[in-house]
Amino acid sequence: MIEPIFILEAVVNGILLGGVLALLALGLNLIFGVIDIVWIAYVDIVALCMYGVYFLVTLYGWPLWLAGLGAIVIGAGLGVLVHLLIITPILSSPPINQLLATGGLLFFIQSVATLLWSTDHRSVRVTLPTIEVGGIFISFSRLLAFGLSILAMIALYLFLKRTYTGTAIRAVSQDREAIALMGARPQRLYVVTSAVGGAMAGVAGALLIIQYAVHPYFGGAFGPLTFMICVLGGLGNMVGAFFAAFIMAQVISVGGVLVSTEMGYVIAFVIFIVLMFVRPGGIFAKRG
Amino acid sequence: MTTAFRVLGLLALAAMALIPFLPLGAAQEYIWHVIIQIFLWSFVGNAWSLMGRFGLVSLGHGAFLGVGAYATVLLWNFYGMTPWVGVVLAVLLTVALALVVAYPCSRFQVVGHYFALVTLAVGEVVRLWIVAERDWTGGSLGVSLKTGGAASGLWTLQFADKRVFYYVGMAAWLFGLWVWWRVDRSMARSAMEAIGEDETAAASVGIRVTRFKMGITALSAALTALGGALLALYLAYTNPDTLSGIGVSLRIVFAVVLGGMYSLLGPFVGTALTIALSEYLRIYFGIKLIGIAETIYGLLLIIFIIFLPAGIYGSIRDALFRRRPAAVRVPSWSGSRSAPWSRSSWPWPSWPAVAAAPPSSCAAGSRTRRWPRIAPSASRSCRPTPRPPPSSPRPRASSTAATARRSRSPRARRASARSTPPPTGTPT
Repeated sequence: MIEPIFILEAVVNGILLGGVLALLALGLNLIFGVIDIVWIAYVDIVALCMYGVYFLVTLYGWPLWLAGLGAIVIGAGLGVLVHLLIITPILSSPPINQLLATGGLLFFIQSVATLLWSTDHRSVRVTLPTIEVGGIFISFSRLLAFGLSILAMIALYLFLKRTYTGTAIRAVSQDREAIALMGARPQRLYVVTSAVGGAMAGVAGALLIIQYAVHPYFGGAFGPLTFMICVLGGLGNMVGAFFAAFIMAQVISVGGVLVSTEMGYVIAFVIFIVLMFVRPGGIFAKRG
Repeated sequence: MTTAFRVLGLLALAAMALIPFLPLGAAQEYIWHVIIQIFLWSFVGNAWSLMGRFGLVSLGHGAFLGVGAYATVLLWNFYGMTPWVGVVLAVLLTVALALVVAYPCSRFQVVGHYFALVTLAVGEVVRLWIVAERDWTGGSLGVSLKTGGAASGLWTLQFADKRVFYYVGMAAWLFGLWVWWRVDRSMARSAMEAIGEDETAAASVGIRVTRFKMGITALSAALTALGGALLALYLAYTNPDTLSGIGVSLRIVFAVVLGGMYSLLGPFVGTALTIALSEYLRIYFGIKLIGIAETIYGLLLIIFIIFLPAGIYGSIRDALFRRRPAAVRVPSWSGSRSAPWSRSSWPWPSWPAVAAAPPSSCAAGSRTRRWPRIAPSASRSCRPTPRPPPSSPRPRASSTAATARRSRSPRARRASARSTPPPTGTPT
């Protein structure tokens, strides 16, 4: 029998994991909602940003926070690069080809990382304390990641709601023909969106590197999960993805403690499949 | 022309059958090994394309492959059940799994991206399950096929001579082509294409959407499971990452799309190219630059998908036999856009000169995709290739012999279409 305290700890850990997952899903969801293309390789770009932080810290001796900011720049640059080199030529292709082109990017990133940096697991060794609250042990790095990802999400929200560019981005996701009539250039907005999405990947990378070691196949560990969350929340629906991230994180965390780590994921995926049948437009979609 | 291609095809087959007896020197075992893999993987690719060509883009075929492979191996390892029975059970199990997934997918109209993601999740569930049941399956370490010992090779299906599996693989591949061809010539194809274009419209003219979808899924899953079982028996080792999960699923899809999803030999061409390329790069670079082979592979994939969306074989065939803009026939999620009369059933089309399809008012670029789950409304208002009314004369082959041979099928199709409402030509 598992003591309740462990389950409580799993719940708390699930909430903390949920914050990071929500951040991952938000960046992907932004790109999807605006450009209408699923970046299969999104989490691999996050992994590249993690490598960026790692090398900035270990090779160049940057402080972690500065390296984190550097990762955001790297992420934004990668986002623009991916958009201009890969997405722009296939904007009008059938969706399966778009999916597969970004899938090819996934293979490419994974193998380039293997080629350049080998399959070693790399992490920046920061020793952060563990906090004990009423018998529950919470790692400070997770708490930090959670808090910062919430902040990043608020920043994204304000950017989309309060700035002119953000309004234009929201407009283009609503109707891409009408926005051109309003005098904005969708192509330019796409680039901006890719940059913002890439910057979110940079934030996520900076927050993940303090918890996890990065390796070339890191994207495979979080990639499918990020997709499930986006779809579960409703593709393009930011609020839905936010809550879906916490639901999935709870299932994985608690299921992992109750049964086993793999079974936690299995249960999460099965729930995803079932929810797809029952609520195909996402958990917050109107029934129709 | 057709006869010449037929003779050429038969000669190529004969040459393939003779390869094991060519004096290839020290490398012969290796060459056989590569060719066997090409046969088996293109068999699997063919099975995938049975679904993929009708807009049912599955990213979960790794699940079917994995269940087929693991069921066969575990039944042999733990119960000593001969693979003859084990493969049948594995295929049945996989079909059951496929139906359990396909039925709700069809009932709740999960299509497009959503179908791809649900199948992706199914693939991950199967892979993680295999890893979790490590007492049985060896977890991530994989499991080796127990040797048959003194038992005869025919009973255990383990052979010291690779040539046996060469012919098994070739037979499987030809069997896959035959199934593809039968589906291509059947009434089901018209129905499936109609379903792929617009499920609601298809249902409204009396096509049983669920039945057809489940049928094609079961067929595809069964063939995939058979392929997985054969791969497991040949390699004598299964691993959740090499025979299940997302990586494998994506590799299958990539190879097929690279070769061409809508043509009989497309999967074979794609698989042969990807395997040959990766083997070549592996040998060329050896252990000097680990990962370079995959890097080049990924780069080529991106380039091919951007510049040759119809696939290598599909593009070549189009360039040789038809003068139609390739962009029109490129499919969308909701199914193949090609006009059915212009697509040949056998790789050598008998009516080469089809007038160019009318330029569509609905160029792919201006198409907006929204996310309702029934086929997007945009596709309903303007179809990329408007179909002619059923009574319009079909382009005929120049060769009379070919006409006589082939006219059987369209006429039969039309005759049977009279009894049931025609799947094509639905009001838009």
